Amino acid sequence: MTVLGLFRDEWVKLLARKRTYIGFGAFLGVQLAILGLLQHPSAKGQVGELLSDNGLGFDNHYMGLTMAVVVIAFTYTLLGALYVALVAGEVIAKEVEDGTMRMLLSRPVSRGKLLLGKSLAVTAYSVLLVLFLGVTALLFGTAYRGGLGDLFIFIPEEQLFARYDTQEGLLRYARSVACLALGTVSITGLAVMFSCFDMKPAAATILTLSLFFVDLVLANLPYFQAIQHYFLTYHFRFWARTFHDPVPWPAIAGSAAYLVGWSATFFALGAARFCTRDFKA
Amino acid sequence: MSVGPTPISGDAPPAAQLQGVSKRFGKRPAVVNLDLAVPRGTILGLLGHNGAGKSTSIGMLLGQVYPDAGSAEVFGINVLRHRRAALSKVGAIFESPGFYPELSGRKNIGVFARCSGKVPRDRFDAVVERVGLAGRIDDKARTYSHGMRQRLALAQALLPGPELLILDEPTNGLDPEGVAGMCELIASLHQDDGLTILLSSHRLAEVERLCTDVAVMRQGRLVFAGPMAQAAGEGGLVELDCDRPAQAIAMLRGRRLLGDEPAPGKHRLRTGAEVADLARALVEDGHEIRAIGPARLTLEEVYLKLQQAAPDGSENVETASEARV
Repeated sequence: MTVLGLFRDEWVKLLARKRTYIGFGAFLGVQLAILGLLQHPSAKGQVGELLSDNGLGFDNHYMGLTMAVVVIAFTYTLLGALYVALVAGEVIAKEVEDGTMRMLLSRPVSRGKLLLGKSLAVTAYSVLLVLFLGVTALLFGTAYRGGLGDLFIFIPEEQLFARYDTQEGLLRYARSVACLALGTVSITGLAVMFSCFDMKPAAATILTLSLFFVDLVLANLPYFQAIQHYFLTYHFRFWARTFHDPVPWPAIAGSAAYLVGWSATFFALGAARFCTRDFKA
Repeated sequence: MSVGPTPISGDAPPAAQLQGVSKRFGKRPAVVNLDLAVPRGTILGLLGHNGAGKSTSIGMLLGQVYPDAGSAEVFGINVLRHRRAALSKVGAIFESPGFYPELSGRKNIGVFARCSGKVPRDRFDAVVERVGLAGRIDDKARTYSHGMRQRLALAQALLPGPELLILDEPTNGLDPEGVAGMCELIASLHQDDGLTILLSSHRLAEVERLCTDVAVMRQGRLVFAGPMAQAAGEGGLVELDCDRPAQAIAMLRGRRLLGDEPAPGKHRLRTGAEVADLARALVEDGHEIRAIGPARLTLEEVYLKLQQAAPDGSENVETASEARV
């Protein structure tokens, strides 16, 4: 059987599971909640003040594009990791727990190919989840505010304060969502790696999230500022760096390479364990 | 439906073979220097207590458990080195087969069977019909009873057209009707389709009824392997019913015609002794014979005897030629 065939079968399984849709549903719910809160007079007042202090019009900039970026900034880091870890952490461990892995492994298919098909499927799921977040955030924001408008972005930790017209804003938004997707792949790799070890699916998910949050906390502690570029979650923020003007391409490429390198390492470690362990009832 | 095994040449290797395999899990030895062959065209019953090493042995044959030593071959092909080729003619089911509950029976077996290659639609329908799931194959697997899940497992094992079927406790948890149906199906797969079958089971009656050969494991070691008839001590045992039985037995032993009593009421004939010699001696000694004739041990008697024997050492293994329990 080809890797493509295994990938397709894995998607059939993913699509049949209810929990596959939890992430999509949760993102929709949270987006609506954030958009609702952003309509609160105090939120509007603060943003309005910030815009007017910098000579920018509220009605022009407090629109769909800006809303979409705010929604992503609030939801992605925490929820994205959670739902990706939930699905990717199960990819092997759940099949071992349910006994389907032994059935699969009694077939003339190599372990490496089987893992590759599964890993590609959950990676595609993770990317799809981020793209879904990006598209729906833009659609909801636009529908809510009645248009795309210009993009205004302010992220103090990134020393980022910028505005772009609609066309440039859309381009930068698309780039940032692509970077988010790449970041998500490394969480997927981490979860798949744990899933390959002899543990329950919940343990694989919890371990992934624990490592992710520890990394996030450490990367943001002032004591570790000098070494924060070693932390995975520091590089996750490269999605926001695409909004800088000029775009710091070398730094973005460096972060992308760092994330790709770790993702490959996680997958390789998982594969090494999966291909050498015993599967027994 | 026919699965059509390939013709067997004279020097063809066994359908499955473990050679000198050992496996430890942590400090616990699961299998110790095991040699086991499943001859082509047989149904080999693999017996043993819980933890005897049956499932580990099956796992090694399927490339799911890596042996610490020795090799596993299927149709002469090393499972670890050439996994795809070795498993291409194998179907397997396990005690509690796992399925994807959200998928239909059809999609479930499709997922497993596709790992072995494309399955033509008419073959799919024929296999589903044969295992008796035609009416429910499009229902979700989570709605299936245990018996239906076992039949679904059998269907996925049969779909790729295997020549060797490995069944690990296929009737566990089934009701009597389910057991009877499964046994009938297994017998038919052997007799009508010529499949070689390795059947691991705790149900001795089922093994005795279905199997042509038997292998018994104890504490990770093989303690018996051979044809069922020889396991039952064919030709060497006698059953007798006469007056004053204790005196009669003592007399026959004294005349070196009878040996030990491997099972209650069943006595071993000494080498060279015939049933007629016993009858003559009993009549000469004034006993009234009500019945006398050759006896066979039941598989249960053989099994229990083997499980009570000394546990250690490969010298313990009895093969067909020396099976005298």
